Amino acid sequence: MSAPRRTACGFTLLELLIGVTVSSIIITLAMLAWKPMSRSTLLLRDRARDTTELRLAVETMLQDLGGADTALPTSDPEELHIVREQAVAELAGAWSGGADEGILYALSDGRLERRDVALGTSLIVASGLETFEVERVAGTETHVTLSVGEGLGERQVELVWPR
Amino acid sequence: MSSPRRPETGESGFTLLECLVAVLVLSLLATGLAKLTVHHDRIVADLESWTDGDPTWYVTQVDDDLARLVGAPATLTADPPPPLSPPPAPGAFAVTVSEVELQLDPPAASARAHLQEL
Repeated sequence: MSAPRRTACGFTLLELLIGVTVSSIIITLAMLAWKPMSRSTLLLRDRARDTTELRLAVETMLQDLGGADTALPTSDPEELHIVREQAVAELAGAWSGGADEGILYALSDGRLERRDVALGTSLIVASGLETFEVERVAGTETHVTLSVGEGLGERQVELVWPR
Repeated sequence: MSSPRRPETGESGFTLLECLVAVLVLSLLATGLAKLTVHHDRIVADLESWTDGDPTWYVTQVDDDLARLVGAPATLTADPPPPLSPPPAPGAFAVTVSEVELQLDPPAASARAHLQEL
């Protein structure tokens, strides 16, 4: 076995160590730059999911409010009671005994439930909601506030039923 | 004046050309990464401003009775709707029927009338 000659080409151990250290520093800096991007992407993903749930809740309520006669809070401020117009209730088969028992919206464990009291049906229209508050203002408007998400990702929508 | 020293055979080290190529490649990589970061930040800022805000919407029913009957959903407006006109005071009205439409299949009737307070 022959010993390597003094003129042989190649990197010394010190050069390799310096190269690895410099590469590690560059990779660390790149990852640090990537971290906020990754965090904001996750935040946006959560916000998109929450916004979808909020939209589902609002669109379902709009469908019922389209043919509503009244929309009022119950004794529970987290419940909304919608009573249909007589013609709408009759067409839906929900008119009995000279009145419509209506539709109840209530929040339970973050899930918004739509319960048609007259027809005896129940449906979860959205999940992940933080708040669902119903308030009668000045006797002329019903304010419904829905919110999703927490902290920076919190999003809130207020619907006003002006009747 | 002495002439520049010629590298001896077997002396290790990088030439100027090698160093320039390495710097160029690293610069291209850094520029690409910076552009990517700036572009991503801009998209995120746009999306955040798009989904930002806690709006208040006013619920408005459609005016058409038939559309409401068949399930037309209410719509949302950012501006408060105008106050409802007060109901007419109790009293006598002159009713003028200007148009009547009758239909047999399916049976339906409609009329256009004009009310005038006496």
